[in-house]
Amino acid sequence: MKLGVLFSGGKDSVFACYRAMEKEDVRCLITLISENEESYMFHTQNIGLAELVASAIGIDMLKWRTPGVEERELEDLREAIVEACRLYGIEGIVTGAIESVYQSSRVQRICSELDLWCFNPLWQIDQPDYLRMLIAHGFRVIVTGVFAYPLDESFLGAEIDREMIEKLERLQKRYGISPSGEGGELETLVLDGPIFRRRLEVLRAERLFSNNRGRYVIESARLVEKPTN
Amino acid sequence: MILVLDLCYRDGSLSRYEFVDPVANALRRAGAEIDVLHYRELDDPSGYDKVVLCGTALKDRCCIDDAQKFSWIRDWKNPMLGISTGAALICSILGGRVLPDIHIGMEDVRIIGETPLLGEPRNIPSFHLHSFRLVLPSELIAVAENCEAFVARDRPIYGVLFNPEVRNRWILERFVKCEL
Repeated sequence: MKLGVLFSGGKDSVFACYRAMEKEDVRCLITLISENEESYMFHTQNIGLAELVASAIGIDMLKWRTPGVEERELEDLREAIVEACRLYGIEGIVTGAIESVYQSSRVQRICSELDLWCFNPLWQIDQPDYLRMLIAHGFRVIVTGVFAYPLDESFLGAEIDREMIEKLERLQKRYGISPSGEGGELETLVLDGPIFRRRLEVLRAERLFSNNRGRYVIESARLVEKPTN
Repeated sequence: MILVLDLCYRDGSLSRYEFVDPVANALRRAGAEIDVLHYRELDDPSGYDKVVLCGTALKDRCCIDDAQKFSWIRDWKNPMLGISTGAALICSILGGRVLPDIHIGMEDVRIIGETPLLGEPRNIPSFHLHSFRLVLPSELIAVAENCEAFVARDRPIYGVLFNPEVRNRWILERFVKCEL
């Protein structure tokens, strides 16, 4: 089945893409570029880097701009999916939704109206197990945004490893944060993984943090060849 | 041992992560021993104590088209729970009708009849992802408005059109632990 993946370059959309590539034929990545940093639907952090991640994976990317106005975003998403159908002949959409009934219901409705399949291969997954699985499968993921207390500046630019997962689990128990950032607590960027033909290298970045919110703004990054087996 | 039956379009499909694994995980967390099988791999369910028929993607009607593989449901006496497409399949096998009607997202289900599985009449917020409504055969009784849930008259066979693995995991826990 030919599929398009809703793609931000963050861990959830990349891992959903990985699972889709194992089972079906991923023809394109679809990225909504929201002009609204508080977008209800779309990952906005370092979204310009999504194109670099798509190049690293080696799958075509369809970029679609949206002003990011609630509900109007959905019409923009629908238009992007229609265009992906026209260009790539996709028969279904893949998302990285884990818990968000808000996001998944809206994408399901659009797919239903367009007579497309809809897949959510991370749906209801245990979040700490999922983070451990990411590492076990060889994905390298850094934190590019924190948006909730007590996530602090130390997370910005840090790679998700076993120690960070244990810390996130402790914060989940104490403060109720979602370990994978499903509630918007954190955002991520994937630098490397088993579906990457090349890996990303961050050359220059800046940490901005105030009032319990922080961004790891990547000013320069490049693709690096990986050793061939 | 509970049999979790995967009704998706093929064994090991991309949909299994979404419609089978969350149900299997919820049953395991409730303390159940389970086997997960794709419906095309099932020869004889008689060795199992209970069966759960999982849901599928909205566009996936493969198992409905393969209904002859489920004729064993007519004679099944042990507890069974059909979820979404699984419920539609039970309804169809037992002589009911499955009509097109898309239902997506959170909405209250109004429980109208008391049962060991769903408890007493009340509203429960539920997640819906299905493309049909049911016309129940005489053997099945509606226990929620609009036939969103049913039970068989003389055996512990239940169906729910909503997805209890997303909201209302207590239903799966009761299915494991309660005398039905």
